[in-house]
Amino acid sequence: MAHPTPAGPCEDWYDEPWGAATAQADAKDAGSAMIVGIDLGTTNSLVSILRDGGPVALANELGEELTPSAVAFAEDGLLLVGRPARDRLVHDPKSGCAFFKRDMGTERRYVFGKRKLTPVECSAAILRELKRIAEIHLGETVRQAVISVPAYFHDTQRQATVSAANIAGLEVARVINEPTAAALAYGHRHPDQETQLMVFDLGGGTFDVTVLNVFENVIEVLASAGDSALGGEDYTDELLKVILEKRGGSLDASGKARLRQTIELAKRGLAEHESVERDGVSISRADLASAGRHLTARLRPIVMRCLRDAKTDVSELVDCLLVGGATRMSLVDTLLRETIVVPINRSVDPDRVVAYGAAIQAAAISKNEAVRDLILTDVCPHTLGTEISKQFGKDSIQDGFFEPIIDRNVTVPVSRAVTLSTMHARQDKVTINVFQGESRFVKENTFLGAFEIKGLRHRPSQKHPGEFEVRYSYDMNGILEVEVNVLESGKKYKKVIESRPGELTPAEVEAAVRRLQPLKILPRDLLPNRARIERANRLFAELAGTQRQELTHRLDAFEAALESQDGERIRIATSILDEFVEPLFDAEAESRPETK
Amino acid sequence: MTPWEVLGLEDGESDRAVIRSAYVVKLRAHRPDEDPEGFRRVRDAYEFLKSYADHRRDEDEDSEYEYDDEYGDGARDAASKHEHDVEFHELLERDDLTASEHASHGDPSFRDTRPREPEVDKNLAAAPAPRDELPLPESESPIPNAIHQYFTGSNEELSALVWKLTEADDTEALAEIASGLERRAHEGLPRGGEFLALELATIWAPIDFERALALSEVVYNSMPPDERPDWKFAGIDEVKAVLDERLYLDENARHGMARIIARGGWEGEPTLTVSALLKAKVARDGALHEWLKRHAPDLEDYIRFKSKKSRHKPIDTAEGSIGCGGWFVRIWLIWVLMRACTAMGNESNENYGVDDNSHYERLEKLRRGLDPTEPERPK
Ligand SMILES: Nc1ncnc2c1ncn2[C@@H]1O[C@H](COP(=O)(O)OP(=O)(O)OP(=O)(O)O)[C@@H](O)[C@H]1O
Ligand SMILES: [Mg+2]
Repeated sequence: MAHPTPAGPCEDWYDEPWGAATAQADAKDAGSAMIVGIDLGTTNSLVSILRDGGPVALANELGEELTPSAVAFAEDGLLLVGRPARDRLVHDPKSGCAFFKRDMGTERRYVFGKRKLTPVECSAAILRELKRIAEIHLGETVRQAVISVPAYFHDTQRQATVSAANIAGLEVARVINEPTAAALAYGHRHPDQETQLMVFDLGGGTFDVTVLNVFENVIEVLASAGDSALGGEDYTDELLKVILEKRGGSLDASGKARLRQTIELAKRGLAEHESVERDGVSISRADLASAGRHLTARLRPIVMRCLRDAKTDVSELVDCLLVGGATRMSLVDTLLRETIVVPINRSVDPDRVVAYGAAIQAAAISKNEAVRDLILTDVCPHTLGTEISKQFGKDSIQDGFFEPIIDRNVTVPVSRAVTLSTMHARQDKVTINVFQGESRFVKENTFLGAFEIKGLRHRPSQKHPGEFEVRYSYDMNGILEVEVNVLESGKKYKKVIESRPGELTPAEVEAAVRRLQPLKILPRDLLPNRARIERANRLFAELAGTQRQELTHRLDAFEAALESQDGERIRIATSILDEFVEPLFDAEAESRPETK
Repeated sequence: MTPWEVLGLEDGESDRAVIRSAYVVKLRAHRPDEDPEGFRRVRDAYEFLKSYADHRRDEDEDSEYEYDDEYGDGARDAASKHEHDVEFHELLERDDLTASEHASHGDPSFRDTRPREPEVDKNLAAAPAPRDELPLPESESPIPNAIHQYFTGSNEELSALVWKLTEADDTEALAEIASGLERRAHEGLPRGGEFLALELATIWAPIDFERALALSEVVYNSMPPDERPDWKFAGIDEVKAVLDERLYLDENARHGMARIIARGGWEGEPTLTVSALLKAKVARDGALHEWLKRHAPDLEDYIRFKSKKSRHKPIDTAEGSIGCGGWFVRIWLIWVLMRACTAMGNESNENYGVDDNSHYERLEKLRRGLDPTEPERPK
């Protein structure tokens, strides 16, 4: 193998068998400065672009389009991303983590041995990997992306996603809601259809539902609702809990991780079979339904709320698009068919359609002719408002109330105003605290920013003493502009609430980039080789006796070959190792979602 | 410009299909990503005309549908807020306005139930002033004062009193409060009393469904006829589904509870969610408790609420609304009443379908932050 050249992303990093076969120059086709579409999922992430007028998902060197959203540190301190990381987590759960999307927008810090990462940094590592994949295909540096987020993400979580992209060296051209992206991809494929749809997106960690109209090339979102902590992974966790309880005894962390993996695969098998038996674990659809019944019970109220907000009756829905891997569970079918009673449409690829939609949006932003006719209008699914105090009775005043200004599920961009006043004649100053959420109390909502206005003290013969109008304008990128107009003086104050809690300064981005910087790239660090080693390690934990010895031999030989940096030797060792490992992994490969 | 002009329509056009086509034409000229200002104008006009069209379809032909210059949701909301505003100020002038004034956002089934017509207002004004009629026992117990305060007091005194109250161990007196309040609910329902009754109902539901239902009826009847909500509450099935799984109470009780809780709406009315939460505690159902806690995550905080001085915050003049004193106090009272009711319940366990284990003890444990289902471990 040639010496690796970590410099330019467009250079061929790999020899055969992984080779440069996938590295076609799509860039020509797409015009320069390509904006890519990215679905940053809880479980899986992927990147997509528009090619020949249609969206395609881009595969990595292993030919895989879905990159597991997992990061882990290898023994030598290298940061693993994607499949190798996920495999590593099965036998060494403490070396990294997955499902960090759930912690986006929180202050959480993960500690892996001596290393610390934030959810934003973990996401950045995934995004950087997707950027890399796209660059291999496009043969040029990718600078901009449309990134999808759950519709129900609030502003802080969106901001965290944008920060992650910045760390990964991507500028976010637009943040798009996942179900909206799915609808966009659907609308793109059926441009002349006129229909009223529901998108039911149950992914690995989040649930979104969106009701929308499609007509005359217009995609009009009516309402979205969701739960950003409810997804397929929760079902797996519930099954794990039940099975652990039934078994009794205790398992160490890695035993648990292995059992969870087995259960996860068995769970997926239930999409096709009534019951599945796998490595001594046997579960049926009924088990899944019963273990996850509290989770399932949370789905319907959200759907109903969304329909209510959309002022739409279920009977008006022509179709319910199923998006997200977890909609393969038969219980989703039952819920939609029997309880909610809506026709199910499985015509979209549940794993990829969100990325496709993001790619279409990206094309629209770069004024690609293929999508020029399509117009999308979306909503903001959370209420935006301000903190107020309320006077109650003569002398009692309480603060902490939330006064909605822009109601949830109004079409953006939008602008709305309320008139407020000072609490008493001598008050000169007020603080406008900006919040987002549905609770009547600000402390349960998300704080977005604040500013102060002055000069409100009452003076004689004023018409509107102490009164002022607060206007919120919310644009398509989730930028909120607050304008205060003091009625008496006509004085205006304006503030753009862009920098929210969670936004990183350039210096912080810089520091995070350094933290994620891999060490020097050696042959053993290249993705296919890394993936091979982690997979073999994982297999090692599962095998026993002679099989295990056999594996050890071949793996040692492979590692030695990598160390030698001798291309020919690596090639031979690779095939020797693969010959042994591949058949043993067939079973799992089957359960990977197939490309359509 | 009228909304019709904005969309280039004939004045008074009310055909949905025509309106939509005009919208699409304008939308292409003012794309939301390229011309946000123009899009907003078009969109506001479109939304106005959509509801205008619906209105024309639903209502009789002649009814007027008004708009001002700055039509659209914003203007309409502001207009209705203004009416509300005036009303609120009238109410503020009234002497008997108390900490239990209540209105809620969101769930329309839980609308502000204050009367809008002067006649009805008079009726309420004619209702006996709570001050004179409250059952005031001779004892020095702080408890009757608390009842009194519930209707008349200022927030801070009130919080202090209720705080004291929960520390009190006088179960008999607590029981007396409960029945006193309940009596009041049946009598005249002072302002805010309907919510009190409703809460009592939710407290009773898992213990005595008939009694809960009767109290709900009281609430219902206290509302002006045209404001009575539809008793087929939205959301009841969802709530029931969960309760079915989680609560080992008898069918009636579960149903009553679900119904009452559903009425509040999970997002719309935290008070009821909290009531339900407390009931879940009584029912010793940890999982339900967890589930409910998602909807009222800071329960413990509410309970430990301490009065805070307001700082430089604007005050809402645009809306007559709940005094949060009333809200917090309600939570407090639920707590107090819970203890009272369960204390009463203990006297005749067979009737209430509860086991021998004293609810009171369990509540005590909960109050001390212990798991009520765990047997006490010797140290
Ligand atoms: N055949 C199947 N049966 C049941 N569940 C499945 C199946 N295939 C995948 N899943 C579940 O789907 C989830 C992953 O779905 P998906 O890749 O759509 O999520 P994601 O996009 O990563 O997450 P999110 O959109 O919530 O951020 C996993 O929890 C997985 O268990
Ligand atoms: Mg997804």
